[in-house]
Amino acid sequence: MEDYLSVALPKGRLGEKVLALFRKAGIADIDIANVGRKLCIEDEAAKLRFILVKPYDSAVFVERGAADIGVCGYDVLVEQHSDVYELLDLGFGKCAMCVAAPKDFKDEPARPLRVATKYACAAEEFFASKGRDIDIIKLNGSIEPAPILGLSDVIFDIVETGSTLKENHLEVVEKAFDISARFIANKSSYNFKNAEIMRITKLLAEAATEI
Amino acid sequence: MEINIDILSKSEQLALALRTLYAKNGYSYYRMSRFEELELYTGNRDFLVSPDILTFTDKNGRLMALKPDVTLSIVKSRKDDPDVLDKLCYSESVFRVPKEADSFREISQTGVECIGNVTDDDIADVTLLASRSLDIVSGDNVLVISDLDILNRLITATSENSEVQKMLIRLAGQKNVDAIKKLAQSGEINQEASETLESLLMLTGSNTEVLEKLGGICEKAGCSDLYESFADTFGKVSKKIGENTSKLRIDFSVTGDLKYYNGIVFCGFVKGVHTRLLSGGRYDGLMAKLGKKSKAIGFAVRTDIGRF
Repeated sequence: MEDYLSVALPKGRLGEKVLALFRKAGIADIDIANVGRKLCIEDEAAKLRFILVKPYDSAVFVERGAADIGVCGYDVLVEQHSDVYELLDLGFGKCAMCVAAPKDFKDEPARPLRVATKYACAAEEFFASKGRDIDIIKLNGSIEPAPILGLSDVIFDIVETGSTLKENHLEVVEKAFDISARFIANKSSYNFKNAEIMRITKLLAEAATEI
Repeated sequence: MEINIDILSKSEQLALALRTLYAKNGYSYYRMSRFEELELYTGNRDFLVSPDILTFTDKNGRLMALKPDVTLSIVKSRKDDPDVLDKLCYSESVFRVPKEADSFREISQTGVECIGNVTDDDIADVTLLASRSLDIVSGDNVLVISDLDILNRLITATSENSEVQKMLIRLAGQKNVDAIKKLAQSGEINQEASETLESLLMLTGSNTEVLEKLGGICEKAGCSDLYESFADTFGKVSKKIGENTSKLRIDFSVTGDLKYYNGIVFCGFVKGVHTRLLSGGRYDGLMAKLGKKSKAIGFAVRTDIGRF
C-alpha cells in the first residue's frame, strides 16, 4: 500500500466538487453516486486512496502525514497555521471571512471589541494587524445570534452569499480575506513522492482553469 | 568500563551515533551547563524555532530562560576569532512549544556548529555531514537544499517594501505561487520579477536539470555569481555522496529569517516521518547582529524520533 498516494478530502459539497475535478482531470475515476457513507475510497488503477474527513480536519491529516495531499478551505490554513505546501488555488468554494454586525452598530474604540467567532486565531491576527483590542468569544455553532442577544458586538465568520446575515439583521462591516479551496501537500511526502504530486498538481491546474 | 548499548533508548542511541560521527569529523563536545538571561533570546526572538520561552528567576533576581535554543548560547560563549575555525557538537534538551502541541515540551536534539573562518569547503563539509546524519536515522532520506542569497536577490527585485518581502518569504515557504501571481496582478509587486520568483519556487526535475534551469533564472536575475557559488557547493556535496544523489534535492521553499540566515540553508526528511528531522544552514546574520565578525554554519537533528 506504500505506493498509494493518500488524499484528504473534506466531506460534503466541497469534497464532491474535488472528486468531480479529479475525474475531469483524468486523475481518478470515483463516481460520487457510489461513495455513500464510505470514509475511505480507493482507486486501484490510479493508486489513490481518498480519505473523507471533516472540512476543518483535512489540513491536519495532511500536515501530520496521515495523507500525502489534500484539499481544504483557505480559512482552515489561516486558522491552523498549517505547515503544508499550498500548491494550487482551485478557484471554487469561494467565500470570504468577514466582520459583520447589527445594522445600527457603532464601534466604541475606548473598550475592547467583543468578537464572536469559530476562528479565534484568524480573528486575533486580523484585529491585531489593525491595532484593535478585542475580546474573543469562541463559539462552535451558529455565530449570528451572538450580537443579536448582546453576547458580542460583532461576529467574525465566513460569508458566502450574505443571505444568513440578512435574515438575522446583520451586515458586513469589513472583509478580512477571500477564501477558496486549496490543494495542499505534506512537506515530507512532497520530497518522497515528488513526481506523482507534481503530475497531479499540473493536471488539477489545467482542469481547474476550465471550470 | 563495559557499556551495553541495548539499555539505551532509541533517542539516546541515535544521539550517541551522531556524536560519534561528529567526533570522527573533528568536532569537540560542547555542554551547555548553565542558563542564559532571557534578554539573549528576546533580542533574537525571530531566530528561535518557537517564540515561546519558559522563564525563571535565579537566586540573584535575574530573569533567566530555560534553554529554548542552543546555537545562541554557543555563539555567545565563543571568542570571536574570524581567523580560526571552531568546530563544536552538542546533545541537549531544549524546551519549546512545538507546532503540533499546545504546551511546552522537552525536545532532544544533537547538532553541530562551525564558527569562525568558515570557507566554501567547510560549508560543503557541513552540508555533507547533515546528509550523513540523516543516513544514521534512516537510509531512506532526503536533504533539501536552498540558497537564501539567491532567494533574497529575487525577492528584493520583486518588491522594495520590507513587509511585502516578509510576506513573499512566507509564501515561498508554502510554494504558494498562486498568491504571488495575485500580488503581481494587483500591481503590488513587479510582474516580471515575480514570474522569475515563481519559476524558482517550482523548479522540478533531476538535480542536473534543476541546476541548469537555476543557472538560467540567476542569469536573468543578474546573480550568476551567486549561482556559481551555490552550484560549486552543491557539486562538492553531490560528488561526495556519490551515486545516490536522489538523497539531495534543490528546493527554494526552504527559507529562513533573512536577518539571521544567508547562503546555503537546508532541512532533512526521512521517509515515513511527517515532519523535518534536521534543520540548518549559514547564519552570518546572527553573528553580525551579536557584534561578531566570524562566519557560521550549523544544524540540529531531532533525536526524539520515538515521538513521531
